Amino acid sequence: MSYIPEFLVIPLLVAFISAISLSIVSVFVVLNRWGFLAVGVSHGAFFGVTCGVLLNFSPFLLGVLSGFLLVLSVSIMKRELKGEEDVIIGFLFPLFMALGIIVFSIGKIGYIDAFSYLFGSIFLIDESFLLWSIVVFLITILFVAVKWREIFLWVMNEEMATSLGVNSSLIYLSLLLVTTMNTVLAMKTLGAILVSAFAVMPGLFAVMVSRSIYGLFLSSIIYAFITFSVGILVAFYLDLPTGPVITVAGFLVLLLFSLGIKFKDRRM
Amino acid sequence: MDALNVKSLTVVIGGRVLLEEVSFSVKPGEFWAIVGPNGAGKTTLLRVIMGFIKPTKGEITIFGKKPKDAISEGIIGYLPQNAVFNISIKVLDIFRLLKADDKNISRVSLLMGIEDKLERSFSSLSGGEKQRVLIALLLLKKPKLLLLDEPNTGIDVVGQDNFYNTLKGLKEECTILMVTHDVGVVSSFVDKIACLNRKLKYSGDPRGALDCKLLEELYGEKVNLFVHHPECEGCHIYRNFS
Ligand SMILES: Nc1ncnc2c1ncn2[C@@H]1O[C@H](COP(=O)(O)OP(=O)(O)OP(=O)(O)O)[C@@H](O)[C@H]1O
Ligand SMILES: [Mg+2]
Repeated sequence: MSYIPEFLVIPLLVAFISAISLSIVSVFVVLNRWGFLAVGVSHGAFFGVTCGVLLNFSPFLLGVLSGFLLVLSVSIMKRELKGEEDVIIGFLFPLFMALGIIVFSIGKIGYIDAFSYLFGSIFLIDESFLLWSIVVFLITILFVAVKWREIFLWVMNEEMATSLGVNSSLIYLSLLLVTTMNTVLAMKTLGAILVSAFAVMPGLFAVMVSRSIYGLFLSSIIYAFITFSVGILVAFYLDLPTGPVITVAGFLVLLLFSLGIKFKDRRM
Repeated sequence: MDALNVKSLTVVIGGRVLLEEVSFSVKPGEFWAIVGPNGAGKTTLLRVIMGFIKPTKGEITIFGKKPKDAISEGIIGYLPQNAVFNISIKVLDIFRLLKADDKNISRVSLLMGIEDKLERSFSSLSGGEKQRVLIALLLLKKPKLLLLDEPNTGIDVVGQDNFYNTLKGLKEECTILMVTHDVGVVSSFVDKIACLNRKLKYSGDPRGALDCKLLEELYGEKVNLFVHHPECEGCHIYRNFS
C-alpha cells in the first residue's frame, strides 16, 4: 500500500467501510421502497450535523439523532394524520434542511464547510470517524446476520409476517435505525444531498442481477466496492469532488448493466 | 371448544361504526366464507381477530385464547388483502426463511399444488400462483386457523374451482375463514357462510340461504346472481338463482 499517500489511508478506509455497510442496508431500502425516506434521513441528519459542528460535540451522533427523529416523525405522522409517506417526507426534509442552514448561519460556519457537508469530501474525514465506521459496520453485520430471515418476511408483508411470528415493530424500528446510522456515516464521503443516491443504487443493482438472498448482498457489496474505487480514483486524478464523481460512476454502472440486460433479452 | 368465537363485536373508529354487534362461532375444521359489499367491514373483522384493531365492545377468542396469545403461539395464519408483492427470490428461498425442513416444504407444496414452482423466482409467478405460494408459506407454520382476505383475486374462472377445492382439502389441516366477493361460486364449496354488511345479516349453511331477499338486504339493491350448480361437475351448468 506504499503508493497510497499516508494522509489518505484513514479517509479511504472510512469511505470503503461505510460504502460496504450502506450497500448491505441498501438491499432493504430498495425492497422496502425507502428511496425517498433515505432522502429524508440524510437531510434530517444534516440539521444534527450542523448542530454538532456548532456545539463542538460529535456531529455523527447528533446527525444520527436528528435523522432518526425525522423518520420517527414520518412514521408517527403517517399513522396519526393518515397521510402518505412521500407527502410527509416532502415537507419534513426541507424543514430539517432549513434548520440546518439556519444553524450554519448562526454558527458562522464558512461556505466551504457547508459545501463539503452537502456534497461530501473525504479529506474532512478524521480518525474519530474510523471508530464510528467500524462500530456502525459491526452493528449492521450483526443485525443482518441475526435477523435476516425476519427482515425479509417483514419486507414481504408486515401483517403477514406478524402472523408468522415476526416482531414487526422491533424489525421496523431496528431497520430504520440501522439505515439512519449508515446513511449518516456515508454522508461524510458523499454529502447530505448525494448520499441518498447511494442508499438505493447498490440495492437496485442487486435486485437487477441476482435471484438469491445471498446473491443480493454479494452483488450489492461488489457494486459498492467497484463504484467507490472508480469514483475515488477518477476524482483524485482529475481533482474533482469525490461525492459527485462516485454518484456519476454509480449511475453509469447501472446504465451499462441495464443496457446489457436489455441487449441480452433482445437476442433471445 | 370453538376454533373462533366472536361475541357482540362492535368496532367504532373515528365516530364511524364499522362493525355492529357481530356474533358467530366457528367449529374446528370448518371452511367459512365471509361475503358482503365493499366497505362492509370484512377486512376490519379479520384485522380485529388478528388483534391489529382493538374492539370497542365485545370479545373474541381463538381456541379459547385471546388474539394476542393466539398470535404469539403461532396458531393463526393471516393472508392480508392485496398481500402480493414483488421480490425476485426463489420460492424455495422464501420457504426457507421460516427454517422449514424439506419434508414440511414438500408437504405444503403438495397441498397447494405448487411442487413445480419451487425453483421459480417469486416475481415471475402469476397473481394466482403467488397467492398459492403465500398460503403455502402460512401452512409451513401449521396454523390451526387460517384467515384469508380475498385470496381468489387474480385467479381465472377455471382456476377458481381448482383453488376452492384446494382450500377444501385443507380442512384436515386447519379451520379456514375466507373473505371473498364470489358469492355465487363459493357457496357450493364452503361449509358455512357469513353475510356481513356492518351487521351480520346471516350466518350458517350456505345452501338455499342465499335467496333474493337476503342478497338484496346484504347489498342494498336487487342482485341477479348466477350460482354454481353444486351437483354438476363436468359441464359447469350455471343456474340463475332468481
Ligand atoms: N383504520 C381505519 N380507520 C377508519 N376507517 C377505517 C379503517 N379501516 C377501514 N375503515 C373503514 O371501514 C369500512 C370497512 O372497511 P373494510 O376494509 O373492512 O371493508 P371490506 O369489507 O374489507 O371492503 P372490500 O370489499 O372493499 O375489501 C370502510 O368504510 C373503511 O373506509
Ligand atoms: Mg377488504
